[in-house]
Amino acid sequence: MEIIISTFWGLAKLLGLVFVIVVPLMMILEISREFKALDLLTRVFYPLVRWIGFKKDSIYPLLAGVIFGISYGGGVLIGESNSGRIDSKQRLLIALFLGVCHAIIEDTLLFVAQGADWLILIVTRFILAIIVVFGANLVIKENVVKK
Amino acid sequence: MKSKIDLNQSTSPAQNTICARLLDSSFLGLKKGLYSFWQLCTIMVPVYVIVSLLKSTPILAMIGRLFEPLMKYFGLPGGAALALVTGNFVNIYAALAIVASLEMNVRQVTLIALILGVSHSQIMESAIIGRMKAKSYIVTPARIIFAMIIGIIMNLILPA
Repeated sequence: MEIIISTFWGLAKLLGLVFVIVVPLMMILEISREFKALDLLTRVFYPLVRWIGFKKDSIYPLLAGVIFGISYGGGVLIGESNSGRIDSKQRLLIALFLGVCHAIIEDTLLFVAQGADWLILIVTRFILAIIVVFGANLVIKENVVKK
Repeated sequence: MKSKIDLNQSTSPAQNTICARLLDSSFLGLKKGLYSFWQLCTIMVPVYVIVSLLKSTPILAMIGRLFEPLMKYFGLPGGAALALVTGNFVNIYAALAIVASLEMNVRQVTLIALILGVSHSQIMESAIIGRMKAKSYIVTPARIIFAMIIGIIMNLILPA
Protein backbone atom coordinates (compact mmCIF):
# COMPACT_ATOMS: atom_id res chain seq x y z
CA MET A 1 0.00 0.00 0.00
CA GLU A 2 2.82 2.34 0.97
CA ILE A 3 4.52 1.83 -2.37
CA ILE A 4 1.31 2.62 -4.29
CA ILE A 5 0.85 5.90 -2.43
CA SER A 6 4.49 6.97 -2.77
CA THR A 7 4.50 6.03 -6.47
CA PHE A 8 1.32 8.00 -7.05
CA TRP A 9 2.67 11.08 -5.27
CA GLY A 10 6.03 10.91 -6.98
CA LEU A 11 4.31 10.62 -10.34
CA ALA A 12 1.91 13.48 -9.61
CA LYS A 13 4.80 15.73 -8.58
CA LEU A 14 6.81 14.80 -11.67
CA LEU A 15 3.93 15.44 -14.07
CA GLY A 16 3.03 18.67 -12.29
CA LEU A 17 6.58 19.90 -12.71
CA VAL A 18 6.64 18.91 -16.37
CA PHE A 19 3.37 20.76 -16.90
CA VAL A 20 4.46 24.02 -15.27
CA ILE A 21 7.72 24.03 -17.22
CA VAL A 22 6.84 22.63 -20.65
CA VAL A 23 3.67 24.64 -21.30
CA PRO A 24 5.22 28.05 -20.49
CA LEU A 25 8.36 27.07 -22.44
CA MET A 26 6.25 26.44 -25.55
CA MET A 27 4.33 29.68 -25.06
CA ILE A 28 7.56 31.66 -24.67
CA LEU A 29 8.90 29.97 -27.81
CA GLU A 30 5.89 30.94 -29.91
CA ILE A 31 5.64 34.47 -28.54
CA SER A 32 9.34 35.13 -29.08
CA ARG A 33 9.12 33.66 -32.57
CA GLU A 34 6.22 35.98 -33.36
CA PHE A 35 8.06 39.03 -32.07
CA LYS A 36 11.44 38.10 -33.56
CA ALA A 37 13.02 37.77 -30.13
CA LEU A 38 14.06 34.26 -31.14
CA ASP A 39 16.37 35.81 -33.73
CA LEU A 40 18.25 37.48 -30.89
CA LEU A 41 18.75 34.16 -29.13
CA THR A 42 19.85 32.61 -32.39
CA ARG A 43 22.31 35.42 -33.08
CA VAL A 44 23.96 34.84 -29.69
CA PHE A 45 24.11 31.05 -29.67
CA TYR A 46 24.24 30.02 -33.33
CA PRO A 47 27.93 30.94 -33.78
CA LEU A 48 28.70 28.79 -30.72
CA VAL A 49 26.93 25.64 -31.93
CA ARG A 50 27.08 25.91 -35.73
CA TRP A 51 30.52 24.34 -36.03
CA ILE A 52 29.46 21.12 -34.32
CA GLY A 53 26.54 20.73 -36.71
CA PHE A 54 23.49 22.34 -35.10
CA LYS A 55 21.02 24.40 -37.09
CA LYS A 56 19.23 27.54 -35.95
CA ASP A 57 15.94 25.85 -35.05
CA SER A 58 17.72 23.40 -32.76
CA ILE A 59 18.97 26.10 -30.42
CA TYR A 60 15.80 26.59 -28.37
CA PRO A 61 15.16 22.91 -27.53
CA LEU A 62 18.88 22.55 -26.86
CA LEU A 63 18.91 25.43 -24.37
CA ALA A 64 15.71 24.21 -22.73
CA GLY A 65 17.25 20.76 -22.25
CA VAL A 66 20.65 21.94 -21.03
CA ILE A 67 19.07 24.26 -18.47
CA PHE A 68 15.92 22.41 -17.36
CA GLY A 69 16.43 18.77 -18.29
CA ILE A 70 15.88 16.23 -21.01
CA SER A 71 12.11 15.97 -20.46
CA TYR A 72 11.75 19.69 -21.02
CA GLY A 73 14.03 19.95 -24.03
CA GLY A 74 12.24 16.86 -25.30
CA GLY A 75 8.91 18.52 -24.62
CA VAL A 76 9.88 21.44 -26.81
CA LEU A 77 11.00 19.04 -29.55
CA ILE A 78 7.74 17.10 -29.33
CA GLY A 79 5.79 20.35 -29.60
CA GLU A 80 7.83 21.27 -32.66
CA SER A 81 7.63 17.83 -34.19
CA ASN A 82 4.74 18.66 -36.51
CA SER A 83 6.26 21.90 -37.76
CA GLY A 84 8.89 20.21 -39.91
CA ARG A 85 11.51 22.68 -38.71
CA ILE A 86 13.79 20.10 -37.14
CA ASP A 87 14.86 17.12 -39.25
CA SER A 88 15.79 13.67 -37.97
CA LYS A 89 19.54 14.27 -38.04
CA GLN A 90 19.09 17.39 -35.92
CA ARG A 91 16.86 15.39 -33.56
CA LEU A 92 19.57 12.81 -33.09
CA LEU A 93 22.25 15.46 -32.56
CA ILE A 94 20.05 17.23 -30.00
CA ALA A 95 19.34 13.93 -28.24
CA LEU A 96 23.04 13.05 -28.14
CA PHE A 97 24.04 16.45 -26.79
CA LEU A 98 21.28 16.47 -24.19
CA GLY A 99 21.88 12.82 -23.34
CA VAL A 100 25.36 13.69 -22.16
CA CYS A 101 24.71 17.22 -20.96
CA HIS A 102 21.30 18.16 -19.57
CA ALA A 103 19.75 19.65 -16.44
CA ILE A 104 23.17 21.09 -15.88
CA ILE A 105 22.11 23.16 -12.88
CA GLU A 106 20.04 20.57 -11.02
CA ASP A 107 22.35 17.59 -11.58
CA THR A 108 25.40 19.60 -10.60
CA LEU A 109 23.88 21.05 -7.45
CA LEU A 110 22.72 17.63 -6.30
CA PHE A 111 26.25 16.29 -6.36
CA VAL A 112 27.88 19.48 -5.10
CA ALA A 113 25.75 18.99 -1.99
CA GLN A 114 27.58 15.66 -1.60
CA GLY A 115 30.96 17.36 -1.99
CA ALA A 116 31.66 17.08 -5.73
CA ASP A 117 33.65 19.70 -7.66
CA TRP A 118 31.09 21.65 -9.74
CA LEU A 119 33.54 23.10 -12.25
CA ILE A 120 34.88 19.67 -13.23
CA LEU A 121 31.33 18.34 -13.59
CA ILE A 122 30.09 21.13 -15.85
CA VAL A 123 33.21 21.50 -18.00
CA THR A 124 33.62 17.75 -18.52
CA ARG A 125 30.00 17.21 -19.53
CA PHE A 126 30.06 20.13 -21.97
CA ILE A 127 33.34 19.03 -23.55
CA LEU A 128 32.12 15.43 -23.87
CA ALA A 129 28.81 16.56 -25.40
CA ILE A 130 30.64 18.76 -27.90
CA ILE A 131 33.02 15.95 -28.91
CA VAL A 132 30.16 13.45 -29.26
CA VAL A 133 28.01 15.75 -31.40
CA PHE A 134 30.98 16.90 -33.47
CA GLY A 135 31.82 13.27 -34.24
CA ALA A 136 28.21 12.25 -34.85
CA ASN A 137 27.73 15.19 -37.22
CA LEU A 138 30.64 13.96 -39.33
CA VAL A 139 29.46 10.34 -39.31
CA ILE A 140 25.70 10.75 -39.87
CA LYS A 141 24.64 11.48 -43.41
CA GLU A 142 22.61 14.60 -44.11
CA ASN A 143 18.90 13.90 -44.46
CA VAL A 144 17.38 13.67 -47.87
CA VAL A 145 14.78 16.42 -47.89
CA LYS A 146 11.37 14.94 -47.30
CA LYS A 147 8.12 16.39 -46.13
CA MET B 1 3.38 36.39 -39.75
CA LYS B 2 5.25 33.87 -41.80
CA SER B 3 5.92 30.29 -40.79
CA LYS B 4 2.65 29.98 -38.95
CA ILE B 5 1.28 26.51 -38.56
CA ASP B 6 -2.27 25.58 -39.44
CA LEU B 7 -3.40 25.25 -35.84
CA ASN B 8 -5.34 28.48 -35.47
CA GLN B 9 -6.24 29.74 -38.90
CA SER B 10 -9.67 30.85 -37.71
CA THR B 11 -8.43 34.25 -36.50
CA SER B 12 -8.64 37.03 -39.03
CA PRO B 13 -5.34 37.84 -40.74
CA ALA B 14 -6.24 41.53 -40.91
CA GLN B 15 -5.91 41.88 -37.14
CA ASN B 16 -2.24 42.44 -36.95
CA THR B 17 -2.06 44.50 -33.79
CA ILE B 18 0.52 43.65 -31.17
CA CYS B 19 -2.21 42.47 -28.82
CA ALA B 20 -3.68 40.10 -31.38
CA ARG B 21 -0.26 38.75 -32.28
CA LEU B 22 0.50 38.20 -28.61
CA LEU B 23 -2.77 36.35 -28.09
CA ASP B 24 -2.37 34.29 -31.25
CA SER B 25 1.17 33.23 -30.53
CA SER B 26 0.56 32.41 -26.88
CA PHE B 27 -2.48 30.37 -27.85
CA LEU B 28 -0.42 28.47 -30.41
CA GLY B 29 2.26 27.92 -27.75
CA LEU B 30 -0.37 26.74 -25.27
CA LYS B 31 -1.70 24.21 -27.77
CA LYS B 32 1.76 22.90 -28.59
CA GLY B 33 2.68 22.84 -24.90
CA LEU B 34 -0.40 20.84 -23.99
CA TYR B 35 0.33 18.45 -26.86
CA SER B 36 3.91 17.97 -25.59
CA PHE B 37 2.68 17.50 -22.04
CA TRP B 38 0.20 14.85 -23.12
CA GLN B 39 2.83 13.05 -25.17
CA LEU B 40 5.19 13.05 -22.19
CA CYS B 41 2.39 11.82 -19.89
CA THR B 42 1.69 8.80 -22.06
CA ILE B 43 5.24 7.55 -21.57
CA MET B 44 6.11 8.92 -18.14
CA VAL B 45 3.17 7.30 -16.33
CA PRO B 46 3.85 3.68 -17.37
CA VAL B 47 7.64 4.05 -17.12
CA TYR B 48 7.45 5.63 -13.67
CA VAL B 49 5.26 2.79 -12.39
CA ILE B 50 7.57 0.13 -13.84
CA VAL B 51 10.66 1.80 -12.35
CA SER B 52 8.99 2.11 -8.93
CA LEU B 53 8.20 -1.59 -8.95
CA LEU B 54 11.72 -2.42 -10.08
CA LYS B 55 13.13 -0.37 -7.21
CA SER B 56 11.28 -2.48 -4.66
CA THR B 57 12.70 -5.77 -5.97
CA PRO B 58 16.16 -7.21 -5.22
CA ILE B 59 17.05 -7.14 -8.94
CA LEU B 60 19.05 -3.89 -8.72
CA ALA B 61 21.08 -5.19 -5.77
CA MET B 62 21.89 -8.33 -7.74
CA ILE B 63 23.04 -6.40 -10.79
CA GLY B 64 25.00 -4.06 -8.52
CA ARG B 65 26.93 -6.97 -7.00
CA LEU B 66 27.81 -8.09 -10.52
CA PHE B 67 29.51 -4.76 -11.26
CA GLU B 68 31.39 -4.39 -7.96
CA PRO B 69 34.74 -5.71 -9.33
CA LEU B 70 34.67 -3.07 -12.10
CA MET B 71 34.54 -0.12 -9.70
CA LYS B 72 38.31 0.01 -9.23
CA TYR B 73 38.73 1.19 -12.84
CA PHE B 74 36.66 4.24 -11.95
CA GLY B 75 38.54 4.85 -8.71
CA LEU B 76 35.40 4.01 -6.71
CA PRO B 77 34.72 1.70 -3.76
CA GLY B 78 32.84 -1.52 -4.56
CA GLY B 79 29.67 -0.25 -2.91
CA ALA B 80 29.41 2.47 -5.56
CA ALA B 81 28.26 -0.20 -8.03
CA LEU B 82 24.81 -0.23 -6.45
CA ALA B 83 24.64 3.58 -6.69
CA LEU B 84 25.56 3.44 -10.40
CA VAL B 85 23.07 0.67 -11.17
CA THR B 86 20.30 2.38 -9.20
CA GLY B 87 21.07 5.73 -10.83
CA ASN B 88 20.89 4.22 -14.29
CA PHE B 89 17.71 2.20 -13.75
CA VAL B 90 15.86 4.54 -11.39
CA ASN B 91 17.13 8.13 -11.13
CA ILE B 92 19.80 10.39 -9.68
CA TYR B 93 17.87 10.96 -6.45
CA ALA B 94 17.77 7.25 -5.69
CA ALA B 95 21.49 7.03 -6.46
CA LEU B 96 22.27 10.01 -4.22
CA ALA B 97 20.75 8.28 -1.22
CA ILE B 98 23.26 5.46 -1.71
CA VAL B 99 26.17 7.84 -2.41
CA ALA B 100 25.41 9.65 0.85
CA SER B 101 25.65 6.39 2.78
CA LEU B 102 29.07 5.46 1.33
CA GLU B 103 31.21 8.23 2.89
CA MET B 104 33.32 8.84 -0.20
CA ASN B 105 35.94 11.58 -0.53
CA VAL B 106 35.69 14.62 -2.83
CA ARG B 107 37.53 12.89 -5.66
CA GLN B 108 35.28 9.84 -5.51
CA VAL B 109 32.08 11.88 -5.33
CA THR B 110 33.23 13.96 -8.31
CA LEU B 111 33.98 10.80 -10.29
CA ILE B 112 30.64 9.13 -9.55
CA ALA B 113 28.87 12.43 -10.26
CA LEU B 114 30.50 12.54 -13.69
CA ILE B 115 29.54 8.97 -14.53
CA LEU B 116 25.99 9.40 -13.27
CA GLY B 117 25.70 12.84 -14.86
CA VAL B 118 26.36 11.40 -18.30
CA SER B 119 24.30 8.25 -17.81
CA HIS B 120 21.27 8.08 -15.52
CA SER B 121 17.50 7.35 -15.50
CA GLN B 122 18.03 5.36 -18.67
CA ILE B 123 14.60 3.72 -18.75
CA MET B 124 12.74 7.00 -18.44
CA GLU B 125 15.07 9.08 -20.58
CA SER B 126 15.38 6.60 -23.43
CA ALA B 127 11.57 6.53 -23.55
CA ILE B 128 11.53 10.33 -23.73
CA ILE B 129 14.21 10.35 -26.42
CA GLY B 130 12.13 7.85 -28.36
CA ARG B 131 9.13 10.14 -28.05
CA MET B 132 11.32 13.00 -29.34
CA LYS B 133 11.56 10.88 -32.49
CA ALA B 134 15.30 10.58 -31.98
CA LYS B 135 16.95 7.18 -32.14
CA SER B 136 17.16 6.01 -28.53
CA TYR B 137 18.82 2.74 -29.60
CA ILE B 138 21.81 4.90 -30.51
CA VAL B 139 21.65 7.50 -27.73
CA THR B 140 21.16 5.14 -24.78
CA PRO B 141 24.11 2.77 -25.44
CA ALA B 142 26.21 5.81 -26.40
CA ARG B 143 25.56 7.43 -23.01
CA ILE B 144 26.48 4.27 -21.11
CA ILE B 145 29.69 3.82 -23.08
CA PHE B 146 30.71 7.48 -22.80
CA ALA B 147 29.94 7.47 -19.08
CA MET B 148 32.31 4.53 -18.61
CA ILE B 149 35.00 6.11 -20.81
CA ILE B 150 34.76 9.43 -18.98
CA GLY B 151 34.94 7.60 -15.63
CA ILE B 152 38.11 5.75 -16.61
CA ILE B 153 39.77 8.82 -18.16
CA MET B 154 38.94 11.18 -15.31
CA ASN B 155 40.14 8.59 -12.78
CA LEU B 156 43.51 8.75 -14.55
CA ILE B 157 43.54 12.54 -14.90
CA LEU B 158 42.22 13.78 -11.55
CA PRO B 159 44.92 14.23 -8.91
CA ALA B 160 44.58 11.93 -5.92
